[in-house]
Amino acid sequence: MTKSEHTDFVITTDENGIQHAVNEQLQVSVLPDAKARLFHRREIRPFAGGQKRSALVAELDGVRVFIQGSHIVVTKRNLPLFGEKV
Amino acid sequence: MAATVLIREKNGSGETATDKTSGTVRFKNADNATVDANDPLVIPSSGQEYSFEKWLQMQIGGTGPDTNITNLEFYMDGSNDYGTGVELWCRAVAAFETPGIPSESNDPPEVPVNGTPAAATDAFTYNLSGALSLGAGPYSGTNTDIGDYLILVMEVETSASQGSLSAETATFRYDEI
Repeated sequence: MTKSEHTDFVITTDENGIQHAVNEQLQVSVLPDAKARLFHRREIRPFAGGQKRSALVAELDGVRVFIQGSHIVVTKRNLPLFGEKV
Repeated sequence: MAATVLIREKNGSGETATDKTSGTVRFKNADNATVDANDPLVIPSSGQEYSFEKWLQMQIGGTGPDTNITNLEFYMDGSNDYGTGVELWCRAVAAFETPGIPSESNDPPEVPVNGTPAAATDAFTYNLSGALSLGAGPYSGTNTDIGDYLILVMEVETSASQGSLSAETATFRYDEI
């Protein structure tokens, strides 16, 4: 993924157990149908000038949706946030 | 707001910390975090030479996570581009010990794992899909060290070439809510 970093999301859980992530452009909701997680995946490269990358990840039963700016990838892998080949 | 997470090098018996989040870790024949040409590793005439251990640890800085941080991991890019005769070894450990030089009678090097020497692993075997865990967490708070220490040791063999090496890419990964 090579898109620029998105604005951070605010992650909350409502009274029905539904997790929501909201920023100025987008709302992502994960229903508690199975093993569900909603989190920021962050990476730091300290030996390369301290570069940092971040993505919002919605995970349901091992399937992950990586959201980085306008780029959305659905996968079961750990996606590289710095843009190398998957 | 995103938590501030730092990567810090620890040196000396007092575990003196130096922020390396945007810095360079220089493997050398001395226990300090200074990036200079002093105390270089010397290509041995036989066997191998090890650097002093580099002890790195993640820290939550002045801004903590909204909820917590989990799944601390470390990985390399999967390809050792240091060149012939240069290797990088690593191990995750819970307890700090004053950094030293591993015994050069062992190959791979053994590092102190909670008081007991144990073999380190080729750092380049840890990659995107198989990273080294530095702690599951959850971790929270501010200005607090989190997870295991990462010990790194550079090895120089007789077949190495003289000169400075290009930096390799290492990545620290974590999840934050």
